[in-house]
Amino acid sequence: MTASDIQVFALPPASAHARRRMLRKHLFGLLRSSGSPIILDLSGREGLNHDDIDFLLDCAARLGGRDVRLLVVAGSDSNRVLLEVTRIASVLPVFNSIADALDDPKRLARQPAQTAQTALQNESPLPRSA
Amino acid sequence: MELGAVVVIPTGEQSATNASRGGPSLPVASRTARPLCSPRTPILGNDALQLWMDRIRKIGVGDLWLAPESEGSRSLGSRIADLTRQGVERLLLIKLKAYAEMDLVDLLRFHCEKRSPVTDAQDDRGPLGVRVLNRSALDAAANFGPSMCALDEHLTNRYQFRGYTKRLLSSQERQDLVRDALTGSCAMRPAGRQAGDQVWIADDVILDESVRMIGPAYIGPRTIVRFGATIGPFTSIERDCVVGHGTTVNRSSVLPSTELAPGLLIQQSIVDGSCLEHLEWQTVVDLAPAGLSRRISQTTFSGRAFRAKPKPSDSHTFAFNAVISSKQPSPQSWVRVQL
Repeated sequence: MTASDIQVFALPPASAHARRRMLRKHLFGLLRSSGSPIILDLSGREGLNHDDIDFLLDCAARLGGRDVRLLVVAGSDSNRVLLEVTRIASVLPVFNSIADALDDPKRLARQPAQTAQTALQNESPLPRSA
Repeated sequence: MELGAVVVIPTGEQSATNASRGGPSLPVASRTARPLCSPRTPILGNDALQLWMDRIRKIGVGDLWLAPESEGSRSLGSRIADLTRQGVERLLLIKLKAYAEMDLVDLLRFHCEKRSPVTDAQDDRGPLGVRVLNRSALDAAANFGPSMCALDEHLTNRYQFRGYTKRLLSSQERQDLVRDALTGSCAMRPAGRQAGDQVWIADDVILDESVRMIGPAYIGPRTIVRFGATIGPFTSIERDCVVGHGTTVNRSSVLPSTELAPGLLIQQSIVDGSCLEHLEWQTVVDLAPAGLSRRISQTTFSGRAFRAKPKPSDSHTFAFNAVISSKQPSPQSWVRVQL
């Protein structure tokens, strides 16, 4: 696996309806068809509202035991707490930063609903795409 | 020689400030979040003020004054001058910021033996907010306020307390106190009846049959725990709360009048209304935007409000509580309470 196999998406604010809709459609398509890891980055969000939580739970539900890995970057302790409280952290691997998500294959390997992929080591930082 | 007693109650803002002084400052995710730990917040159904009042009654003090901390030291000084005019020769001054299993008789004995104007009780981590002032210190306090006396170090004797203490304004220590009281590691006991191995349930609790209780745990009066919830271990759900379907609460405290949404996982946290403080990550988060918890005014079930019905044997306690709750000091006034 190479760096280009991994896609990083920033979660737009709930007020950006069009971008949010586009991301939802694109992401759900990828979750259906792609076998590559996907990183959903919440770093730009100061908090999460019920739309964000619904979105993340929807993503988790669509994984449906498939071998697609969806990783969440919380970006802040308060987002991390919200992900724990809503149990999203129990079904999706959560990291503090994109670098953490890429640099710690052992943590990745321990997460549920994942294949044992360790090829993320020694890869360069990724361009973000949304 | 007449002994008087004053309990100074920190107000909300001061509580928050003092709490942050005790540890690292916490990022607060929302400006609307209120301070999580007030010294009057119940702990396993216990009121720290009432526990101090019980100790004061045991040393033979007939009545005491409740004072808001928001009053300035000059105002406090004039109140103390009033007390000395009424014949008070020694004053026990307790700032309600710590739970301490202190023998006040021993403290007074120490104060008399040392003959210093002021005796300040402290543990290894500093002052506990418990102080005895004799007549000369009271006269000085009447002029300058009791804080001026404390500045005069040579007038103050330290009473080193080595028993059990916890700071009430620290969230972590509050949760430690919950753990210790549930496991019998301190003198405090949960207020409800014991319903199982290390499980205490207060009156008028509605517990679905499917609820899983893992001791040690406590559920306070009039709380509703819905289908499939898991409570414990080391957990306190205080009065008038609602725990939603399938929600798990462990190693945490849910403070009074809080409703938790269904399906949540609350661990190592204190939740007060919509505000959650995660003790491990030292973060305060507002759960309201995500609709995960909220403050409720009273517990309702099937459209009917539930209220506690005191048992006959508890009538004295309930009457006593009624006096205390109806005599909360307003920001400007002192309140006299008969013990």
